[in-house]
Amino acid sequence: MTTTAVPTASAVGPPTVEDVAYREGLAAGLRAILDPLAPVPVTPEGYTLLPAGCPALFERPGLTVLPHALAATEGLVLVRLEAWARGATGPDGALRPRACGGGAQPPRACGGGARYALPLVAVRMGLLRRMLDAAVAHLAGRQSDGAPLTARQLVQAAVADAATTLETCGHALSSAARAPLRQAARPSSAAWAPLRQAARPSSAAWAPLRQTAQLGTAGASTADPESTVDGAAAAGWLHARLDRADLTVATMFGAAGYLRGHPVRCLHVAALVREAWAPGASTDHGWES
Amino acid sequence: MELDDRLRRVRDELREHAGGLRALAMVVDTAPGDMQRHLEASAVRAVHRIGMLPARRGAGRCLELVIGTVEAARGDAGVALACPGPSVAGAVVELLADDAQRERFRAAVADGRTWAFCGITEPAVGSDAMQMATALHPDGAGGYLLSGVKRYIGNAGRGTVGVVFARTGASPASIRAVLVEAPAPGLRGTALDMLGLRGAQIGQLDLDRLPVPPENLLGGHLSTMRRGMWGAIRAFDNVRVQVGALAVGTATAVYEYVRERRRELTGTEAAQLEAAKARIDAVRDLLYRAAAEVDADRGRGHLASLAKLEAVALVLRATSVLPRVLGPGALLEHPLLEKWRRDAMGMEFMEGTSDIQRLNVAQGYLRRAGAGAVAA
Repeated sequence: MTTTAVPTASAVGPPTVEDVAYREGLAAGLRAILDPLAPVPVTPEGYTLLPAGCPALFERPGLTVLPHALAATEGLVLVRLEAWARGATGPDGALRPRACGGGAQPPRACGGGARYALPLVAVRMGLLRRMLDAAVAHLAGRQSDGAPLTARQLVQAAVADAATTLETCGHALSSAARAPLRQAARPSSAAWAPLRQAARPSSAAWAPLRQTAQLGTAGASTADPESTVDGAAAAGWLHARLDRADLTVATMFGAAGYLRGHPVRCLHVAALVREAWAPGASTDHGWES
Repeated sequence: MELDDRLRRVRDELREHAGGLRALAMVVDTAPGDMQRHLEASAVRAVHRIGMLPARRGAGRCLELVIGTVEAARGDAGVALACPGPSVAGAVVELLADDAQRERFRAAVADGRTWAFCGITEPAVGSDAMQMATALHPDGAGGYLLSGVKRYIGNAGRGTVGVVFARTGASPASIRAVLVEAPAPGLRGTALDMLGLRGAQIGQLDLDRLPVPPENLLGGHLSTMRRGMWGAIRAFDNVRVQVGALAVGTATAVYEYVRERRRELTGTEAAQLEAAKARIDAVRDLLYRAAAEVDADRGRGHLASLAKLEAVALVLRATSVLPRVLGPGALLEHPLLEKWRRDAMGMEFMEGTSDIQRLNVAQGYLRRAGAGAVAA
């Protein structure tokens, strides 16, 4: 890992989620947003990727560790939580423990992942920024017709696309972080839970995200409703933007980026994490491109 | 595009074996070095058999291989690439070898247990033929010595015969292709650990004063112009449409996998799958036409780049969008879909990234525009 300075809000104060992911990688980024005592985000069939080195995460009933060589290279473990497979879905569509044994299991053993959809955007941003920096350094060191590849317009366009995605996602995240207090009157929406937690200093998932946005509680409480973003709705297109930017940046390394040992693999694994941690968080279903 | 009887037979035979290739997909992805265990599988032998079909006089080999590759990749692209046989080196041999060289190459891969490599890409310049650095120097006794590094080459570690592109001098006409046999002093092939398309055993060829007898230089029977850069470019065009075939086949595989598992569709999902199918069909037809253009050799090689560009965009889209029809989490719940997503990423890099293909398309269009063909 390099220790390149990251131009985010962390210049003062504790590191943001984005900074952690930038400096320490995917697993560290996930640990930064995951509350080990809260429900684990899983797919409808109960699959998820969890960061290794956090034993409490794995002490859950019905948890089976599965092989996943690629995930392991990023310090993640593929698991299946039988109790939360699709068959346990309740009539309201919410996940219910299937093997609760008459309610014997603790209610927070495992659960859905909607709360992590936006925090995961911050993690993915950190990874993307790190890989973009590395890609630019790589391209600057390669020559074509006597000039560095960064002088090529097509390369510059790709860099611009990735940088624009990062900025757009950062602004959307900041704006979404301002939204919870104005939306606090919607307690029934599960998607808003992490946003409501933004007001709680102890919230592991949301506090660092707020720092990314450089917002204090006072700022949030006085936010203009029209200057904020509906975070739950935004998560879909933010992840979709990151999907595309990830591919753009991975391509910048050429075939070297296709080696399993290349650091850019983190972007691919992060997209797999999204499958469980931000279920359904994509609006990118079209065939237009 | 209308296919004649032979092309339909190629298509139908490999379509029949697509399931057999699919059955090996995850096994080969996990342990690509163990392909020897699967060489007697009927699907693997079918890929070899089609690859060994003799070229038709006056007819298109590129199109035939594209049709076969689409169907094989419809089973699984990684396994298709893991099958022994002429592979892409065969296409180069068909293009540049004389009769004796062609027969030697065919004999070398005839047993169904031999892999072939095709060394084009280099670590520093990718697939930019103009900047190729691998050198072919006279050895002073009528032969040559081959030196350089080829990287990201399919079958590099296990191939015992192949073709390597190099240059004898600085001019575009100095590009030559040579037949290489392994093992040999001065040749070391090493497999690399790749993210996807792992069945291809992509690797590196290190060439250190590898002796090349004069009869191994391809294209000696051709004019200087047609065996130099022209030959290399035609070979690259040929290989590009084969990569496009891997992409279209994989996109088809994803579509069919999702369609089979999601029988009851919402209106939106049905429309999405319908659009996917239409795009797959259109790109496949475009690819066939590009292959026919390569065969026809009418100087419209940029169509090969155009077809690869479209095919790779298609497969990247298909592997990222279509799994969602199965619901959230499909890439974790269906390992094959995750594997195909990794495979698709590799197709972007093979024989030039999409940016390289865009430049080729632009140059082809501008050349025609300059000649007045576009306005006409």
